[in-house]
Amino acid sequence: MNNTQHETQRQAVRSYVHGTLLGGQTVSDDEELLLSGMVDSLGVMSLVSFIEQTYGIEIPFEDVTLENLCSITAISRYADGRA
Amino acid sequence: MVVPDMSGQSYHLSESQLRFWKGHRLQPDMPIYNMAWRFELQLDLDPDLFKKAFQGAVQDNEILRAVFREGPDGPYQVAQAMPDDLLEHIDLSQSAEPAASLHEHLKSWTQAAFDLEREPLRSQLIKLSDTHWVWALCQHHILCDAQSGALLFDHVSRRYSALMQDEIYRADPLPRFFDRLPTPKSDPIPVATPHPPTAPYGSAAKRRGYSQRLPVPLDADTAQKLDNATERPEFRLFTSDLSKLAIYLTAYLGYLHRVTGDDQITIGLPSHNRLTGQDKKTMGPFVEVLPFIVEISPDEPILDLHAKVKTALGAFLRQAKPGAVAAMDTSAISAVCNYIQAEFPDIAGHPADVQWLHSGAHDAAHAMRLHITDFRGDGKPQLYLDVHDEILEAVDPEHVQHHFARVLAATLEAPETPLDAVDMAACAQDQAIVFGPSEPEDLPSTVLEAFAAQVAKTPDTFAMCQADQQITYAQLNAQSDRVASYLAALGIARGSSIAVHMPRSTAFVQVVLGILKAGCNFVPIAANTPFARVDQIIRSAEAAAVFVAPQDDRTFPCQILTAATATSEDPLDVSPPQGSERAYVLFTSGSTGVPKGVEVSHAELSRYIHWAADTFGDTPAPSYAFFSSISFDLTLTSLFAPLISGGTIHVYPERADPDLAVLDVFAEDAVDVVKLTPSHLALACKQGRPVERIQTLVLGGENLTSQLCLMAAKVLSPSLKLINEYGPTEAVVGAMHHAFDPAADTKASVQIGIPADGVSISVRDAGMNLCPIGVTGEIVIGGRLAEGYLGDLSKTAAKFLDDPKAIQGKVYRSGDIGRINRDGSFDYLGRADQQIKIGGIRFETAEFDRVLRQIPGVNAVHVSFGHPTSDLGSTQQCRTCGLTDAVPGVEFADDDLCGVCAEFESYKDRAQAYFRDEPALQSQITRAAETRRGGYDAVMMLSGGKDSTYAAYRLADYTSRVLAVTLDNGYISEQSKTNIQRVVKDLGWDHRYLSTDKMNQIFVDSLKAHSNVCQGCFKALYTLAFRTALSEGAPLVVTGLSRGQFFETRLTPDLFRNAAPTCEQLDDMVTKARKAYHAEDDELSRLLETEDLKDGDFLNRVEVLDIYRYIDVPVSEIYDFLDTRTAWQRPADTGRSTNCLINDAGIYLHKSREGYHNYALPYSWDVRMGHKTRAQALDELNDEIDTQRVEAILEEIGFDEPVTPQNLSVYVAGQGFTEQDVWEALQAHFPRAMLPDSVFVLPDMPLNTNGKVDPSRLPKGRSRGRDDADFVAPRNEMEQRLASILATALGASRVSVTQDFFDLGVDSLTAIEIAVKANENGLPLPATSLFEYRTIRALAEHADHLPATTSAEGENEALIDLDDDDLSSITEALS
Repeated sequence: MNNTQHETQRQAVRSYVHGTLLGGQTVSDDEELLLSGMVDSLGVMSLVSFIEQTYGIEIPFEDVTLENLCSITAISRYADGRA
Repeated sequence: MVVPDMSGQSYHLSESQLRFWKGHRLQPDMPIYNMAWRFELQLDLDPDLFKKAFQGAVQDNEILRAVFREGPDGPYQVAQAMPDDLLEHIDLSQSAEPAASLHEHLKSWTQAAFDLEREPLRSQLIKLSDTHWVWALCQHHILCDAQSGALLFDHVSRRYSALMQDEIYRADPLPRFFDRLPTPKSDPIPVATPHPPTAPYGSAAKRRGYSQRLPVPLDADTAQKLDNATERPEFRLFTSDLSKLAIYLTAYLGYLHRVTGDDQITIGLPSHNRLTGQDKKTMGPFVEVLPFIVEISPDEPILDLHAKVKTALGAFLRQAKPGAVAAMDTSAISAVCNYIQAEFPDIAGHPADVQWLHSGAHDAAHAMRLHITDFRGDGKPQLYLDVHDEILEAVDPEHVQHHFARVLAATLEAPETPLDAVDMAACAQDQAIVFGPSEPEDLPSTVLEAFAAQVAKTPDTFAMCQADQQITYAQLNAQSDRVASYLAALGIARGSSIAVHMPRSTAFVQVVLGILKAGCNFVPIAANTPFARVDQIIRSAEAAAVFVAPQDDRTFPCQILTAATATSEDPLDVSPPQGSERAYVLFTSGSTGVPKGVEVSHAELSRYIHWAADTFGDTPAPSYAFFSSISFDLTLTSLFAPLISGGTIHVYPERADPDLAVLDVFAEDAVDVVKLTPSHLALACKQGRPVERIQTLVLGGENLTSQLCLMAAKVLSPSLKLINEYGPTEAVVGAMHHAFDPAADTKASVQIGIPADGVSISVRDAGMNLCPIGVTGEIVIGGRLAEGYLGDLSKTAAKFLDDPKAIQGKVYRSGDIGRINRDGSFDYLGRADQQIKIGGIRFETAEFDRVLRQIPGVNAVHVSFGHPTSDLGSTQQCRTCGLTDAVPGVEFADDDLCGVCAEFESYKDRAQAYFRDEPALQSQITRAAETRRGGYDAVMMLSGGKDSTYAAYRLADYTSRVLAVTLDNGYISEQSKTNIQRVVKDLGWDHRYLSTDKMNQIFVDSLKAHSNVCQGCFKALYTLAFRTALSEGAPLVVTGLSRGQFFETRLTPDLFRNAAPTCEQLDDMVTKARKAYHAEDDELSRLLETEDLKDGDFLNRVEVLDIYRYIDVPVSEIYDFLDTRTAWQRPADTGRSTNCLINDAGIYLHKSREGYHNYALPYSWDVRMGHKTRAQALDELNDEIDTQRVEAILEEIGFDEPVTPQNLSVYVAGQGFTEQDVWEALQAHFPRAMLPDSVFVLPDMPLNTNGKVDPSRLPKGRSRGRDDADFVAPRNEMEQRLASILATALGASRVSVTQDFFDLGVDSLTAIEIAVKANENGLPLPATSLFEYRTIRALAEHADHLPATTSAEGENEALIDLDDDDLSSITEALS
């Protein structure tokens, strides 16, 4: 797992969050997405599916938590750890 | 007027629109899908501008102008031109009561049905005053959802603001709904109607759809708690909304469980489906209601339920994609939970009050809808429950909201509370408790007192009669005095128990009274009770003596007395018993089979008897029949009630086994009151003799069905009074009663009515709280109880206790389930430990009774829900191989020799053709060496057992270029793996473990389909081994399959019955069978994606070499060789279960489900081959299975069924009808999910001595008969021929012509067998045809088109040589 792959994956997640979930609105990687209500539960699960596809991992439901998904940074950290 | 303009483009409908369309078509006049908003606009509104704003919005968003028509390809939607008068303007400001008249008007306006073809939207602007306007908007759900409403509101608001400020409304156009329509999917697969969920509060199952919307007030406190609850880590999900939804769902599910009694609830949960920003701005119906299923375990704390909800939410969210509803079965949804997140902003700077109006009706299948809304977005949710009218007949609307609120409160405040112990009752009027009438003040404290009074009153009336013998009250009094006197003289201490083990007779009554007069208590033991039990009872009761019949000469562990001799003329000098003294001890069988003695005092007996005499006797001095077992407390009524009221006891002695004296009672028709069980009544009806004198029947001991009552009225007497008397022995015979009323008692089971005098009855939850009216719980009885269980303080303390709620005093927990209904009726719903639940939903067995009793000739119906037999009771065992007749297909001639052994003798010589010799082995291997394309000559399957290891060493003599493979199914023991490693190292071979991540699923499928793990494992091994050989370029796959296994699976008797095939022919057939095996479209082929093997081509490149086909070695030599010359180490036992740790799970399951050991047949072959002795085989089949370990393994692999699935069996007794009649009746009335697994027709229902159905004497069902439900008989000769061929091949008595072969159990080998037989019968069927034409009917049609061959000219006894032409016509065209 090299750095460019990490970065490509993170970029993909960024696009998905900005484009699909936030309707074009950009946010910083550290912006809190869930508690703020920016992304609702349906959005989160579709994000989970997207992460699974992008990183080629399986995410058990117990791992779908605030800690793991609250921001793009958190997501990358979690997903890299599972890959 | 609306002028439809058809110039727009038409579109197909989305999945959810389709559902609305279909729903609307079914009930076009019901406003089920009307979505109505009422917006309160408190401002000085300009109506013309508002109208412009509204019209502009509608113009811009085509979906709002959509109409729905049906075209050649199905329904379509098209936007029509906007009508001019879309917004009706109404001025109510001048009317007397504007607000009230608006309210009335809106009610009917919102409930008016829509015509989807013309106008699914209507709107009105109503003026209440200059500064108070109401905008009402009503749309059909087919073109909107809540979010859509909010969007429309917002859109109109902006336009209005712009117009107000004289600006042009500029905004980006909103996305079009029609652009976002997903492509249409094919028709969803129809699903079978599920078992309908139980209606809440015991309400009527059929509903029309009209409903009311009830507010669920949430006090500020609760709202606060909801916010705080998410601080608890278990309640926190990844968004705040989701966390709250999980709590609401938990409370809602818990509430539904409590008010329906179901353990599995399917909630319809809408998914808003607006994923992207675009979606969120698009008007139209996006929402899809998807099923959300949770199973509730008994005694579960709310917190555990919440955990399940969390998991289910995860799964739910994953599946929630647009169009998902197409692939889901939503028919089981019984309630909906609408968590609406739409928010409505201001209008022109003024906040608008938003109300979502109820249309007056909702989907009849959804008992309730819970709505959670927060339209203002201020964090103060508003909750509503839409509840159908029929349900509100069964429960007070005020109470409904309270019940739900209680569960929600418990969830938030005390989630450790078990769900079944949440106190739900709304108020004192909502508590399920009834107090019986009070008793008269001066009730005698013992029956003796009342008897004595009666003797004084009517000394010369007959107290008893039996045949010609008649005994007056005076005589009975004197005789019982003499008995008492004798007992006193014997020195038997006061308060002693005295057993009475006598037949029914006048002497019995004398003895019983005598015992009571002596200050002792009697222990009745029926005459036909087995000795061991009599002995046990006498000891448990510590009886001082036992009265027996004069001819009884057995020894008992106490003094033996007879009625004739135990009399004394001395005057009775014993002070009469007090009410507090014990009157009798009655031993019941109890669920564990250990009899427990219930002790009852005089006072309680007297209270019961006085009440019974008063209630059951209509005439002044009624006579009763004494015909039932004295061990059963039901009989006490018939003994004592007449004696205190001047009536006569008619004695009906025991008949021989079975004791059906009840028939004599009805034949003689000489009494006024008969107390009996429903089963006895059924017999009386069967006997069919009408009665005149008998007027009152008191039914007890079993559930009473209304259909039986109707039958009794019809057959016995139309003026019969039928009283249902409910009561456990522990409540002194009877506690509740109800007189059957055909007009009022319309349910399948007759209700149990009201409490007896002095008795109180309540229905309680698991926490002993009083249940609300309409909610089921445990029946708890107070007021008149037994003292307890003799000699068992702890049991007594558990069941007889002081009411923790201090309402009923001392109470008895009956273990029965019941419900008090709003109309005051009291339903008995069976024993808690015998509830039948199918798919988590309670099954009312009396419904079968109701339906089946309508078949003429049926006298009795019994339903049981038990395990299919786990020991099919084998009676015969083969003297040679040890097989028993518990194994299906194993038959015995008369001489202890099983059919398999017998037949084997006849063909074993011909079968030798299959076996070859060592030089042949050598040449095979040499050839392989020449044709190999990789580094190996062969891939060898090495299991680690003795056979494959020995075979490996023999192979090693010929080649060292072998890749050994072992399937690692995840359960291979370390010992086995070590053994394998030692061996391959010794042989110098490469070794590889083969595995698949689908192994657990393969196990589960194998268990479900074959009740074993081996079949799945075997096929996985072969599949992976072949693939390995193919990829390694090895031309051989070598096995250590034993000869016994050849005979079991390959060289089957049918191949040799009238033929002597050559080696090549057999080879050919085996190869064809192997091809078919790997071409099968089964679960394993799906899991392992065996497309690569499907065409069988791989068998041209890889050959299977079974070592034992070429060498035959006695088992001793195998062991000898392995022990001395190899690195292999023998396991301490057979190794079967120590090598493969999942084996026991398969054995356990197979034994439970099929009734025999799955190694029975293979081991019998080992015996025939001389590899085991009969004793060894039988010994090895005698497993000790560690069931806990097995359950753990089953859970590990994800096996989600109970080991012994429960079998719903229906027993129907009577004459003049067939099993087919029963199935037809069942199918006509019940959905597929409620049909039983087996139906048995019996001439008579077996009863025990108490007159109740005796389940131990009912035939046990295997899971068959379900198929019979669809049995279709052959309709022509071709079908007939095929049907009989299949029936023989499958060992079935008959085969339905419309049933799929693979449901019948036809696998690839059987397919060959069938093809062979078909050919023998002149039908040239290729074996593949059974794969293509999957039913007999289809096959018959196909066969009609094949050229006929010469039919077998009679079955020739002489051997027929199959020539190659014959063979190819049997098995042609497989490839």
